[in-house]
Amino acid sequence: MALIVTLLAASLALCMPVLLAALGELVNERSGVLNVGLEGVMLFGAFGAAFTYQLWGNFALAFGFGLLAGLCAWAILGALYLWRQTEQIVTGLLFNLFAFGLTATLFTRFEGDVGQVRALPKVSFGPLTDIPILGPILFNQNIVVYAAIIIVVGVSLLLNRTWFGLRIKAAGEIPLVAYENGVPVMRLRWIALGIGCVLASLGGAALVLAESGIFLPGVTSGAGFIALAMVVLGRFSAYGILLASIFFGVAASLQFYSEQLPFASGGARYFWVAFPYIATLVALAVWRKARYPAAMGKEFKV
Amino acid sequence: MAVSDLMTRPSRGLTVVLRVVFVVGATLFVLFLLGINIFTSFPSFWRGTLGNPYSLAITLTVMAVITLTAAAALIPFRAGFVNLGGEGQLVAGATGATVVALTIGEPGSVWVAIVCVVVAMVAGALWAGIASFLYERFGANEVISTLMLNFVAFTVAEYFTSTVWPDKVAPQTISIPDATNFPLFGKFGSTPWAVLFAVIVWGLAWWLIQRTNFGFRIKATGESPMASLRFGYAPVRTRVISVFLGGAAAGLAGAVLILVVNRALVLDISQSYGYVGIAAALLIALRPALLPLGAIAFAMISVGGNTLAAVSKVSPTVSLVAVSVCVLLLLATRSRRGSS
Repeated sequence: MALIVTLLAASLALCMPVLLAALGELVNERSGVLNVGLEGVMLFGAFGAAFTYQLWGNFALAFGFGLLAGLCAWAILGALYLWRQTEQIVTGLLFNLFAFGLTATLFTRFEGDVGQVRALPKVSFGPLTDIPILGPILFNQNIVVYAAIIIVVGVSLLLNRTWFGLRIKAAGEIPLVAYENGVPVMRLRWIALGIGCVLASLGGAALVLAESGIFLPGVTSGAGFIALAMVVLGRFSAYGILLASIFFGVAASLQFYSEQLPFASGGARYFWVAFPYIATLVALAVWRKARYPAAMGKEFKV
Repeated sequence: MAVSDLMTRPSRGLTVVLRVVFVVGATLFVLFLLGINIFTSFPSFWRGTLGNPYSLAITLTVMAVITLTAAAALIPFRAGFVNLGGEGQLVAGATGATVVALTIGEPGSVWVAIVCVVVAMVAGALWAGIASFLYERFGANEVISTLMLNFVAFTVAEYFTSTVWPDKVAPQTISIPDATNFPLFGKFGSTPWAVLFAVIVWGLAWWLIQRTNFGFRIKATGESPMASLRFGYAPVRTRVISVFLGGAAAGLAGAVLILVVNRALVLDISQSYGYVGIAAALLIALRPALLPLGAIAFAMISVGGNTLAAVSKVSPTVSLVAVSVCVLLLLATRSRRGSS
């Protein structure tokens, strides 16, 4: 029992970077931009955050500069996807390669300056933490977890309850009709891509500051790709993505407790390391009713 | 994905010159910003890539590997299947080759090496086949599934390097027997064999896509699956076979890395060759006849980048920046009027 509680608490914390990135990707996919460069944006955010934390040792500044790095990624990706209208899948993939190369190169250059990060402190809820089972899972987490939950609600409200969200969805489903009706499709896609990049870079920052505690080349190890899958698994809804991410978190946290689980010690450990990816694959295949936004990934020409 | 979007028609005259000058200049500028002295380092770039037999051998081997991974991207791309899993298929092939070589063990022979190559190609093809199966049977998005399978392949390789045949010092398996190799050519070692494989795959890819009935079906499936269905071109079967062929090419690249370069399964054996292959395929706008051209360009950047990085004391990953910036700018400077 205690093990299950620890596991759930750990998995909730573990899935937050993926959740944040997936929420960002949700917004820009709904507007018609498929950003496969998500992994690269996360790397930007992670590097910015780790570098800043090493310089000033301040979590708020670290998140801020992670976000700033995300805005740089936004400028690059926007220029490619939206201004030059390059093919989005391969552009995103090449951006990932670029981000990996760039952050790895900068990391080597400033080796001494990008090192260990102190773990993000947990938010204190006083007596609430002592509630059996629920306490350790829900009321003993770091600030990222609570912020991410609020962002889930925010993104859902934004997409489903505001004019802005309606227009974003129109831009992603029937851009030409939307354009004819006075919706500035291109400007909306720029904004949506910006939201996507900001959230993904925050996810990357959270990955370093709250989870791995250190920046290494390729530290995201596919979190951005998993976030892409989570958007499909969550069927393009914010709450769906929350559920999908928690599912991923549980799958991913199993490897850390493999020594305590009877079916996961020794060589079988590697199965559990690969398990989140395999589980995502299987879930993608089984849970296939997701309907993609009709204009996602397509060039928009007036 | 619209295949035709990636197959830019070559622009003519001054435009193409301006474009190339801009792309090369901008890439060099990025390298300069990252701390590589582009003005003084040309001699060391030359020495590090083609200037002496030793580095020429390395460049040719890397060129062979990139030709193979570029073919692994190109063939499925032409059939409309976005295979981003060259990396994982390469690792699957390398793992297959290592398992064969180490299971048969000492003393080893040329025949074992041949079996290694065959098994690597089958392993790569099957690894690609998983994504193909999920795509055709369940409609699972191939962009995501091929990327996921890359990470699964890395873990499988990690299992072999750390549990089954771990080396005592480095994160890799023990070396494969010396005799499990092709006949050597003096200074060049077994590099000519790598080049031979690449040339064969290049020729086959070109012949298949441009000169055969099946190649026509591949292109038709990529351009319009619906139309090729109406014409009785069996788009599903065509697509599946082309994905298998791509996977086999990537697997062969894995075997080349094991037999010619590393002689053991190293943890990060691929060093992004799978992704660089995709970039190379895009550089040549998915035209199979030009495969070696894209490969030599990026092989020189990768290998020369290592030398430059060593001279300028920069991380060798800087060559990945050069490769990606180069192709991104090439895609971005495409004339938009031409494509519509």
